[in-house]
Amino acid sequence: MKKNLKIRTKLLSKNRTFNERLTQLIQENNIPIEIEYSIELEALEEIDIVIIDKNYYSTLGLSKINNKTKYIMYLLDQEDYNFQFIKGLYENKVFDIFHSHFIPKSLERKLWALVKLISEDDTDQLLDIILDSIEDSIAITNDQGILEYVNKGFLKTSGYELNEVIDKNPRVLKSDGHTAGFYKELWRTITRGDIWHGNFINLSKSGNLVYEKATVYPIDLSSRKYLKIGHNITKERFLENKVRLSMSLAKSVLSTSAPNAFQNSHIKFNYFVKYMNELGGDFIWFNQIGKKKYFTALIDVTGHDLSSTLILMTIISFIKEYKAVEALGTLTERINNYLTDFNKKSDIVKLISGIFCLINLENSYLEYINAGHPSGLVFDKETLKLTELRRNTLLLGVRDNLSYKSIVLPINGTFDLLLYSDGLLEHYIDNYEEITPKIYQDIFYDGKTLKFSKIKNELMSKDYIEDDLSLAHIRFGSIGGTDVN
Amino acid sequence: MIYQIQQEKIISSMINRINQELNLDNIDQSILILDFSKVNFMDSEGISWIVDILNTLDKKGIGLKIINVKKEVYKIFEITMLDTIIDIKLGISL
Repeated sequence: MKKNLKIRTKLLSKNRTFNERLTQLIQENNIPIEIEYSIELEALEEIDIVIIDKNYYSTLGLSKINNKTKYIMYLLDQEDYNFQFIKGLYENKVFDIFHSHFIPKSLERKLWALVKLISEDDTDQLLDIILDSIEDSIAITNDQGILEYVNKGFLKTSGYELNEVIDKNPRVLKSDGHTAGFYKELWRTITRGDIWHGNFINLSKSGNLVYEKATVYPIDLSSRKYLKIGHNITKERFLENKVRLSMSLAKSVLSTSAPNAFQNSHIKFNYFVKYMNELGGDFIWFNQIGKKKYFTALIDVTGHDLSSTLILMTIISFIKEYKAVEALGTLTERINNYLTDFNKKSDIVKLISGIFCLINLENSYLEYINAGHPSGLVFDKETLKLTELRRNTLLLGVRDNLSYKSIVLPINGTFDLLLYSDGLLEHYIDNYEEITPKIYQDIFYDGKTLKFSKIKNELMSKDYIEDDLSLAHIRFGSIGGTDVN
Repeated sequence: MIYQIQQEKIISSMINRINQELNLDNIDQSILILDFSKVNFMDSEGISWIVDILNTLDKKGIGLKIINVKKEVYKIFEITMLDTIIDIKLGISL
């Protein structure tokens, strides 16, 4: 919106109420119309619109006007609304008519239509109308940083009137959200002719913070100008902050559920989880549920957002309540039924893949259920012979009322049980169509030494990962109580 | 009805777009066949999306079949055992 965009209008009327209402309408809606109140008919050639009150000029008077000005609007009273009279007006090139007790919205639309018609003869004004119809905030400054042009979007976002910002420095919008270095870097970038991208934290006239994702383009005309296009992201930023707060809270609650490393003379448990965005869908659990009975599980909830964490927290409560007397199948069934029920009622679908293991060193067996998860690995510590805990049931949350049966393996010796997320496997193998025991061994062992610490250090120090990475290691011995160290 | 997924990756950021293009509301045939020949990768959100489609079609009594699945993507269906409840045909490999 430029200061000089004005449609010249002459109002031939002494109807004071009408004149005041019309002036108010134009001002309130920033219609670029400049009104002159007069009953003189001089210099009509310089006038774009003439508004005529019929109380001063009858249809006969129109012949003196209609060839001298671009558009005529005619002000009528209720009693004038008859067909012949109105026909006469249109025959005398009256563009539009309206009632002296006009409906503001209707008249505003008519005036804007006229402004557009008149402006279309002028490329600059046409461009102005186009830019004003864009919701984004657009501004042009000169090489001194003085605002020469702003569109309606700018005025709406900032809350300022046109005359409060044009020819002014945009520092009026500055908040305390940026350092001096921020603006220096912006100017350094654009003055050397490069495009600047970034986010502004501005202050509106009413004192509210306005977040804007912006691009500033240097434009070389007769002198250097800078064009800023900014998209208001205040609402998104506000929601982001709320979500971040909720995630921080959820993360804190989740961390209180994490198990501790564990070690005694016949079993040792250690693990790590590296979350993709500090709040992931992986969870590892381990606890002692009998004299020489241990329960461990690794679960992976689809997605990496707050909803995944909330589902995870519910599932953790199921897992924590698991007791030795209960069949593994019953626990898995309960989780599956909860998830399928959730998925039926919810707009989002959450699924879980995972491995649930019961290590019974009293009776020397390992019992497991693998629900749609990559194989758990059991390596014989002496020979590194591998037994895979292969998937034996569909991932959880897809079909309800399925029955789950566990698989039992005998334990005779000392073993390393490794449970990991698919993200960890994908980190080490590009294509895991056919993974041989040798490939698994090379990932997790240097010779006969397990690389748990090395893998943990390597992965936990990564700045960027594409999925949650988790690994649990449980070393356990035969009933004789082998030293696991 | 056969619908070819145009995206190479079925990941969370792509799912809205795929849904708009696929428009499940307009399917009035007895089976939807998804052609996966362009799909190279699918993450866990992609799996959720497949199950969501399966559930939606189930309610309407429409079957789901997935064809031309590359080996790398087929492996995901195998591990999750979704291949036990959806008719999935292995196809082109990279």
